[in-house]
Amino acid sequence: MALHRRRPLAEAYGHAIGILVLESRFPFIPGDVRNARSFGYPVFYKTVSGLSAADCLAGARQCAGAVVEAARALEAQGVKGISSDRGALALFQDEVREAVRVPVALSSLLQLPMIARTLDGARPIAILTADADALPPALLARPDVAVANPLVIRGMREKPEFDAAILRARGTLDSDLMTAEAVDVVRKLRSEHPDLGAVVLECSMLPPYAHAIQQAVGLPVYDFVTMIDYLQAATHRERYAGYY
Amino acid sequence: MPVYTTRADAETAGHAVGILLLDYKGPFVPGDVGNATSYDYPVLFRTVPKATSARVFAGDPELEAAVIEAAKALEAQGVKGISSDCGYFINYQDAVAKAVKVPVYLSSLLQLPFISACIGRKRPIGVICANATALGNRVLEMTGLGSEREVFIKGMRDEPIFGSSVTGDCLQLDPDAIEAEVVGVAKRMVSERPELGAFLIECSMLPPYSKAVQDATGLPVFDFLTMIDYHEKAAHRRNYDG
Repeated sequence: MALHRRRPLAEAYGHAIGILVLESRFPFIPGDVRNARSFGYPVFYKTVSGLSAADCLAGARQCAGAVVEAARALEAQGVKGISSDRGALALFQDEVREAVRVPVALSSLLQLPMIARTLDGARPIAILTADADALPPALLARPDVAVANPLVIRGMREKPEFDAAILRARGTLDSDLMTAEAVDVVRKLRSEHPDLGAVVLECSMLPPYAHAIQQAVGLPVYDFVTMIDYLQAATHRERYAGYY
Repeated sequence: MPVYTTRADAETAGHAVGILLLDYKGPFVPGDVGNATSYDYPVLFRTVPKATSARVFAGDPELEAAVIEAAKALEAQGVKGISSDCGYFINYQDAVAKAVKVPVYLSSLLQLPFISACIGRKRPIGVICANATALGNRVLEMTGLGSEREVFIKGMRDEPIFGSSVTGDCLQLDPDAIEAEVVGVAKRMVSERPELGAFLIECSMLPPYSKAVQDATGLPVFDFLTMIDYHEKAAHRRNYDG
């Protein structure tokens, strides 16, 4: 072991990724970005105080300070990368990135250019989100998000269990019903777009259903968890101990 | 279990990623793209006949048909994605993506736009490749990276041991010696550009040294293997049981 230096503000050590979260309360089931067991390594959560989902969606500039402050607090704990549980936080991506030294990826949609590049430019990419009307156009227009491939955006709002459990915050969530609803939306989308190339789950509460969606349509499925795993892998390289 | 249908041309099943190889024989040590133990899942290699590095660097249009044929042969075996062992296969990226249904990610350089998004435009990305003179603006543009983005490129070819190990017919390779050279190059890059935000190791023979580069610089290190692992995970989602 080499010499290790104390981080003045760190309460504990060894957290791989810091995750900024909003002040919301849902049943965060395994696979959700806000369930620590969704990751194969320790993550550190930090609530952005005073930031509501509505503020976030509106990209309220006065909130940038609070988001930056929370990101700096995560960095002070020693995290190697920073993500979030809300794609709309990417409206603050630039401010946060300038404020910290570690890589920052606040929205699952930042994967879009990389995904689009693996497919022929004519093939559509599906985006599954909570409420399609609430996805800020400013987010999709960002140079690090926009792609040439056609995007097919669908919300889960018309689905009763998702609507009750998430959009109306009932306090309970039936994951079997949610699985069936998510699979149903993507199956329908696939039948409308047989040439679909990939599915992106924008919402941080949808990764629990990625496996079922993939079983149903046989396409690559990207989401917050694939992105956070990628960031973690690049910030914590391991030695290859194979054979020759 | 669902009902499965025979794939007409598949000799076996269960290979996650198909990897196109240059027509080149070298010592592919653990961590090299051409070493099967570099992956936690089964991969299937396929050499593209007559694909010399010079032809692939130049994007020789006469090679395109052979690259497509090899990619289609991999797809017929059931792979869920296709990559390669040379970053300059990017010259055939669009043609192959058009020819097959599975995701295609032939070059480690395709990660540049995401890396750029994560570290911001004000901090350069350090690219370590084999031959820096071959990595020009034409290749960088194909990655989708904006031309205003600063990329700081260094080649390993002038390093004595790496240089003699990969040029011509390489019969032997000393990973410890090459590691020292790669780490030396990375450290010099950081001292020249202290604002460097991340490394992208372009060459498929260099991932064995990514950890050493990270230990020496403390920066994120992306390479062929981070890209292949990423797309493989997206193509094979698992249930969460937390």
